[in-house]
Parts: sequence; C-alpha cells; structure tokens
Amino acid sequence: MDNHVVRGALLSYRALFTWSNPLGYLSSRIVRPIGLTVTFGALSSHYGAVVGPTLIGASLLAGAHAVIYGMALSVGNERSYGTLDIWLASPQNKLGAVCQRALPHLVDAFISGMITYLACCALFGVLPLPAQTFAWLLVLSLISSFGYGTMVSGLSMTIKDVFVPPNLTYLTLMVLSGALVQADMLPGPVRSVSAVFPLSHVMQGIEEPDVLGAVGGEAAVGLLWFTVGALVIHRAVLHARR
Amino acid sequence: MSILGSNGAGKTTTVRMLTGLLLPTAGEAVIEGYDVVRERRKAALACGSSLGGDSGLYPRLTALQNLAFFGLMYGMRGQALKRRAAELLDHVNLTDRADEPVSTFSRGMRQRLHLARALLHKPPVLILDEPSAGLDPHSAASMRRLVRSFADEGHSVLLTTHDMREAEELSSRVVLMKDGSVHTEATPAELRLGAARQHGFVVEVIWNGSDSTGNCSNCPGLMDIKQDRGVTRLRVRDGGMAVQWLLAELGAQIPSLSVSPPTLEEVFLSMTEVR
Amino acid sequence: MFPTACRAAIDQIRTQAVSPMSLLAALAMPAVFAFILYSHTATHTDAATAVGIAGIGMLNAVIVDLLVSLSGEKRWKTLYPALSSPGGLIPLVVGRLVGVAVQSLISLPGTLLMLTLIWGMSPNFDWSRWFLGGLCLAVATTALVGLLSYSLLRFPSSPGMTNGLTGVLIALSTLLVPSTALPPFMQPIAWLVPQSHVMAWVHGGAVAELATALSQSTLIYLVILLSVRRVEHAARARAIPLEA
Repeated sequence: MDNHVVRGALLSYRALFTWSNPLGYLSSRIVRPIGLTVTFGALSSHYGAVVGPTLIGASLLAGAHAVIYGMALSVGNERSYGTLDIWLASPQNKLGAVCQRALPHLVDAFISGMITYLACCALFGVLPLPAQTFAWLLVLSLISSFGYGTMVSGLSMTIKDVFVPPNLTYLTLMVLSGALVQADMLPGPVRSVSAVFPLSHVMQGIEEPDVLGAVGGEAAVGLLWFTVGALVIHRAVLHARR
Repeated sequence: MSILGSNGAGKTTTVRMLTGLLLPTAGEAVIEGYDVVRERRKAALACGSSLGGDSGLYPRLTALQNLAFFGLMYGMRGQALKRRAAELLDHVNLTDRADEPVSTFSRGMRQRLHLARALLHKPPVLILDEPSAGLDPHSAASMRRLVRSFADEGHSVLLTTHDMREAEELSSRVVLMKDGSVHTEATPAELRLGAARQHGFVVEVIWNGSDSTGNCSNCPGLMDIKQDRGVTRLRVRDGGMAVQWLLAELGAQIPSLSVSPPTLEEVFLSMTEVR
Repeated sequence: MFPTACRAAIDQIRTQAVSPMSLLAALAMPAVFAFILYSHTATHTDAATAVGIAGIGMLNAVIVDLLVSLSGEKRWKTLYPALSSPGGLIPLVVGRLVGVAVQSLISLPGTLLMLTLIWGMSPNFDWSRWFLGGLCLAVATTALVGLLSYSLLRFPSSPGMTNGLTGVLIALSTLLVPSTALPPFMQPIAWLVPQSHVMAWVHGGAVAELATALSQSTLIYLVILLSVRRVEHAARARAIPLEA
C-alpha cells in the first residue's frame, strides 16, 4: 500500500480517534465488549441455550462496534475540532478519505474482536470455534461492517451529535444482525430485513455451514452499504455547500 | 484586498463561497481562472484559506503533524511535504514548537499555524478571515507583518477584518460590504478622500500652552470645532486652505499642526450609519 | 448550599433531559436489551424483568448524562466560579447527581410501557416492587456511577474511558440474570454492587437486601463527597486545572 495512504490513515487515527488514549482504548475496545459478551453469554446459559453461538455473535459484534464507532468518530470529530470546513474545502476525495481513515479501525476491530472472543471463552470455559476459524469469520464480518461504517460516516457528516449515528446504527445491528437474536426469532417482516445487515450471513453460516453463502452474502451486504454510504457522503458534501 | 463590513454584511458568506464551502445561488466567482463551482478542485488548489479562531486545527496532533495531515488532503506527498512544512514552520516562527501538540498552543501561535496551513500547497491566492482577531497587540503586529510579507512575495491576499488599521496597513484595495453586496470598492486613500468631501478634513492644532489657545472661529470652511486642554480639533471643508489661514493668523502660537482626511474607521461608521 | 444544589439539579434536567443521547441511552438501549432477553424467554413482563430492563436504561443514562454534564462544566470553565463560592464544588456536584438520577427515572415508566405493549404484562405484576425497586435502583446506580465524578473533575478527561463501565456494570449488576449465571469469579464481585441487592429484593428477596443496597449506596455517596472535597483542596493548594 502506498506510503502516503498509510501515513494519512495513521495521522487521522491520532487526530480524530479520541479514544486512542490508554484508558479510553482499554475501556472502549476491550473492557466494554468483554462485559457485554459476558452479559449475553450469561443470559444464554441462564435460559438454557448453548452459550457458544452467543459468544461468537457478541465477539463479532465487538469487532463491528469498533469499526462503526471508529469510522463515525473519524468524520464526526472533524466537526468537534472545527476542521470540517477545511476538510470539505480541500480537493481530497471524501469517500476515499473515509476509506483511508477506516484502515486503523479495521485493525483495531480485529484485535478487539479476537480478545473479546478468547477472553470470554476462557471465562465460560468453552471454545465453540478454534481461534483461527473465528479469525476468518471476524475478517469476513469486518468487510460488511466496513460498508456499514461508510454509511455511518456519511451520517456523521450531517448529524451534529457525533455519537447519535453510531449508537443508533449499532443498536440496530444488535437486534437485526442475527449475532444476538437468531433470525428465526425475529417477527416475520423483520426477518427478511435482517439479511441486509452485516454479520447476518456469517451467523447463518455458523448454524448451517455454508462457506460460499457466508462469504458471498457478507461481501454483497458490504457492497450494498458501501454504495449507500457513498451516496450519503456525496449528498452530505452537497448539503454542506448549500 | 480587505473586505470590511459590519456583522451580517456578508463577509464570511463571501469567503465561504470563494473557498467552495457554500454554493452561490447566483453569479459566479473565479479564482486564478477557475470557477469555484464548476472547477472546485482546481479552484481549491489555487487558494489557501484560513478561517482563523481557536479551532480548525487538530489539538491532539503536533504542529508538524497537523501540516502533514492537511498537506495530504491537498495532494502533497513525501519529502516535498516534509520540506514545505518545515519551511513554513520556520517562516511563522514555530520551528521550536514543531513537535508539541497544538492543544498546548496560545491563540497567537494557533493563528500563525493557521496561516502556515493555508500556505502549505503554495496557493497563489490566500484568503484570511479575521487573521488577527483576539490577538494581543504584539501578536497582531507580528501577524500583520507575516501577511504583508506573503503579499510582497506575490500572493494575492484577500482578508476580512474588523480592524480598520489592519485593513489600511495591509490592503491596496478595500471593499466595503453592506447587506450582502459591495457598497464601495477603492484604495484606502481614495475612500478617505471621498469621505473627506462629505465629512471634511480634521485639522489638529497644538498650542504653545493651554492659556495661549487662539480663536479659530473665522477659519475658512469651518464645520466643527472642539477644544481639549491645549489642543484644538477643527473639521473643515478644505484642509489646505485651513492650514494656510491658521499659519498666517495664529502661526506664532502653533508649534504643531496636522491635517488628515477621515480615518477608514470613520468611513466605515459613516457607511454603516452607526454614527 | 441547598438552593445551589436544587438549582444545579433543575438546570441539569432542563438542559439535558431530552437530549438525543440521553433519550437513546435511557430508552433505546434498554429496548434492544429487552428484545434480546425476550428472544430467550417467552413469558409476560414481570416486575423483576421490568426493573432489570429499566436498570440498563438508568445505567446508560447516568453514565452519559454525568459525563456530558461534568465535562461540559470543565469545557465552559464554570467550575472556577463554583469553587470560589462559599459552598465550593459540593452543592454543584450533588445537584448534578440528583438531576442525573431524576433524569434516569424516565427509563422506569418508559421501558415498562414498551415491554407491556410488545410482550404483555404478567397478571401477578408486583407494582410495589417495581416502583420501589426502580427508585432504589436509580439511587444505587447514581451512587456507583457518581464515583466517576472524582476522576472527571480531578484529571484531564480521557475520552472513551467511561465506555467500559457500561459493559462491566451491566454484567455485575445482575439486571438481566442472577449472579449465579455469571462466570464463577465474577459472582462474589457482583454482591459488592448495590444494584445486585436491589435486584435480589425485586426478585422476591427479603427487605434486608434493600437495606444493604441503600447502606452501600449511602457509603458510596459519602466517598463521593469526600473525594470532591479532595478535588477542591487539590485545586486550591496545587492549582490543578479544572478546565478541559
């Protein structure tokens, strides 16, 4: 990868990702997902369900959380620092910049997801999937989460409160991705909507092993949300100039 | 060129349109031959802008990292970017603070860094929104010197300001804006002379002592007179004639005499009808 | 001191009660947890479930509101006039905590309404345990999260540092499941958290559970007051900055 792409990505991470201090990072990327995964795991085991799929789903969600919040902050904090105007006025391609800024968060998301999975498996004394297999699933889910994050970045360009878009979209993902609530437990009309959310095809692939379906599904979901994101960003840039 | 106008006159809106942040509803604006709407990218590369203030920089990055990040936004790369950033930090006297986070900078230092950022990609046109607002007199003077030096290097500089002295000192032309449109455009001298035709010249006479104040009531073209502890200020229609009369009639009592047209501030106040 | 604290509480509610983030935290987040909970169980809503789900909203809302409130005070440099006033910082912090606690109560009826509309209400719904348990949960949650006041006031805030609290406290507060469902090493820790005792009472436990929760909360409030006094002393003696 070209040096300036990596340099820009790292500078954006340092400049705009406000949680990149030790306390903030540990708290957001490690402690929070582990705490939530423990809660969901405990919920599953208390009601007699198998804890494994919940640990996998919640850990994949931890990765998605890192991507969504990271990408939202990498755009939304431009407003907080009063640099949004300068960025908008620059000739830089905004969609390209959003993608560039996502790179460190994808790495973060992988780390966060893996640590959450391994820590929670140790806490519950189970290992539903080997670490390597989980790592592949995580990578797959990060592809679709990146597309989804592009859309969240677009929303963060127009919505003033930097935390509203990632919170809303993440909560939607918690319910509709199939990571915590199995798709067949969702009401009929919502069930079909679930298929367009990140993680849904990976989770389905775990229930009924179908590697190609999971890969194709997540890639398609990622592409869909990336296209939506590109349109939202284009509209946001135009909107800012009116 | 300076744009002057009271709050709400349209200065910032003009700047935002020129920098591609706002789409004009009518008309056109061209920077270095590039239309700011149709050729936004080229126009953006042709102009550097600083909207000033405490914000507009990344507080968690150092001065050097800020310039590197903004440089990348403007398509600068590698060693060229590094060299240019170092050169500009030197130019704005921030080399010794290059590796410190901007969050630790004073307002004056941030303003200078804003200026360096705006100049990073060597734009022929520089647009500055109130570059010395909120600075102490020393920092403001230093900022004015910097802007002057960039103009001397051949940059076109457009600045909006509330500071009349700054406008007068830095501009070869001044635009007075009112209610969203250009009210007057001229050189500072033309503006002042134009205002003098309407409001007269100010002649300031300093007498030998407060007890030797002369009687100026017969001065030709007298419009107004004010006395203040040994100093008399006359407002007259023709400065030259008034001076001639004063020297002829009361010259022996006058060690100092000056004549000046209305200041830019008076021109501005007269235009905005605050006075 | 009392009027200042009242004013601080009223201002807290007036300025933040309907902020999008506050409402998201207090109502949307528990709604999502309710959905996840009901994907495991198909029963009607009982008092324990209603209080537990409301507790998630309260926890989120108190964290978000306290963070926004105190970091706002630092950003606008309003802690200095408070520090120089006769009462110091305590009335302000107490007022903010009271305001935050009252604000978080919106979760109680808000989530009950949602739960009842979607999943129906159990015929044996225990209204007194729901109401009193909900109130005590707000007091206990505000106490525990209120400990954060010290670090928010004393240190330059590290953005994101409160995010982990949500995860850890949701697990330890036993809002959704009893402590026995937690991994073994977390079970004894859960009993140090006053919310666990409130939840034990709401689940039908003895009044002693409620008394324990309130005693723990009172102790934590005293710690908060002492820690704010320490901040005042540090600000006056060592000129620690009280601004962002």
